[in-house]
Amino acid sequence: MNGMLEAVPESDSSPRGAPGSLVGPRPLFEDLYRSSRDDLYAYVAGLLRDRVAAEDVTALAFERAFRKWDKFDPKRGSARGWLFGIARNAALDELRKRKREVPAIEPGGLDAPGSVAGTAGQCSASIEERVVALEQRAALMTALGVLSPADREMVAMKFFAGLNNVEIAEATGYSPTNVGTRLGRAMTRLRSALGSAEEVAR
Amino acid sequence: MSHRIEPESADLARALQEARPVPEPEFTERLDQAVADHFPPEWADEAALGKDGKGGIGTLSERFRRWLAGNRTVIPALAGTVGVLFVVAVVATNVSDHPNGDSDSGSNAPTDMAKRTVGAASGGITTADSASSGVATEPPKNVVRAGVRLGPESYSSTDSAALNFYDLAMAKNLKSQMRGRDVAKEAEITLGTDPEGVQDVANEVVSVTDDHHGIVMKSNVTDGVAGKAGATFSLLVPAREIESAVADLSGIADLRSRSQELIDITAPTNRAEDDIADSKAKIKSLLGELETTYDEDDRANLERRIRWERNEKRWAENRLNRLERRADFTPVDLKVETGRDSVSDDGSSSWGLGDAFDDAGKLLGVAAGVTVLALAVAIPIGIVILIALALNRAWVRRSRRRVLADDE
Repeated sequence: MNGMLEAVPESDSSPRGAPGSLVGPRPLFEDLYRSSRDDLYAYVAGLLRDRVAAEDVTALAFERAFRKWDKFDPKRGSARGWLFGIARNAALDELRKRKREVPAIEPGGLDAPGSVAGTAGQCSASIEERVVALEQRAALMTALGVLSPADREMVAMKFFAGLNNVEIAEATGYSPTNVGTRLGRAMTRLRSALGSAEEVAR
Repeated sequence: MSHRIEPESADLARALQEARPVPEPEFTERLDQAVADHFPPEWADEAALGKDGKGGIGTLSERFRRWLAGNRTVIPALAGTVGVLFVVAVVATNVSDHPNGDSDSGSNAPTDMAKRTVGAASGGITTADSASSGVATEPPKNVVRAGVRLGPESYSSTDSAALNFYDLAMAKNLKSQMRGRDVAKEAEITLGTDPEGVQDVANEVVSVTDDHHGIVMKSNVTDGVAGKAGATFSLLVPAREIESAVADLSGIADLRSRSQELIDITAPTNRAEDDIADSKAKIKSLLGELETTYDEDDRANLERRIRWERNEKRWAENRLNRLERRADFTPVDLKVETGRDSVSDDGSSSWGLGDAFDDAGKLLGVAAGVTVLALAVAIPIGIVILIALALNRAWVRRSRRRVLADDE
């Protein structure tokens, strides 16, 4: 396992500057971890909508990736795509488990105060702006909760984790074209859900 | 005032990015530490992650692996236990091959790994003595059972007293078991001597055979160097004297191996006797019919049947005679060898390097047998486990797809 910590120069040309985004030399696991930790958590939390389960699955995904790091082949795809594939399996297993159990967390579990980005850093904003932001966020989370896991997964990978279509394809096994189609469909449904939620709010 | 997100605008994408969930600092701190420490076995416990409590994340195998990694002494302990069990199995196998157990204890010589096979269906008894080491030992205390075939047994002796004791004990046991039974015997003896002594041994064999009223059916004496010089004899010894004859023949030179086989011929003897009685009765009956039959064709038919039955009776009598001769005379195959395993230079025989190799080879053979048996059990179980794992993998993949597909 120590081999994975060897300093191997990495060509980092991904849009987000994440190591291993492109096929190339093997990145360091720790670099991959640092660049992907928050993205991975965001994706898993967006899919599961459960903070505690998201922490579990994120940690588990990194542990599995660490154990399998020797088997990772850069020729077969990017490290991020590989890592998100592992996380996806773990998250889907968590969803499977939930189907067998009584749901412990209500939908919207991520909607608690301080659970989303930007909430803590808006002290300088006006109260009205903060209220607006919170209302918008609440509406968005409600709409996300209405989406199917398949749609939510696409949205979470694209907008929470910041993966491009190729990386999403690597993680899910779909073709990049199919990813684009699915993503478009998911966004359409999200808009629809968002519209419905606001109609109800009025 | 409208606070709604315009669904048709790029605001939706921006709003999603702004609503991106971020991990709690405590969680990231714990995870950073776990990665820095390369996920030590106890990391899941220390991190106290998840609603499942300590270490309760991951599949069963992952939890087991963490537990195993945290209990590093378990693997050596398990390996040690398996090793000990293996040795016990090998030793137990040998002990079961040597029910008498102490056959060679008298000389402190290593056990000559001999085998005793059970073949109840054979209806005979074979005892064999191997005397490759030539060390005086206690004779085996095994009880010979009728209907049980006993394979080569470890027993070595240059002490004729011990040998005779064993012969007597064995003969007594056999007699008690075979009382009332018709028994045919066979014996094989291998003697060892030096090349110069072959002729003397051959002369002595003939002399002993004559003393026991036996017949030398065939003999062949070859001169030469050690290993080539030797002799072979096919003897026929009266059954009543076979035990003493074998004992005397065994004492002529260094006894290397000896085996005796008792074949229970009661059933074929009884069958032959019954066939004779049946034939006699039929012939008598047919003769009676013949006396009262006057039709030529019928008479011819009856005479033909009588001839047939007489032939049957004759064959049965021949069979019975052969069996009786077989019971009365015992064939003895005697071989005189020279070369390795013959008397040592100082005139005494002792357990040596060759015997050590023999014993080691036999021990390795037993170990290999135990290994093959273990594999015979483990391989099918392994195949079943592999199939179960493959099925589980397919089922998990399908379930993952369904988790997404169900809600689409």
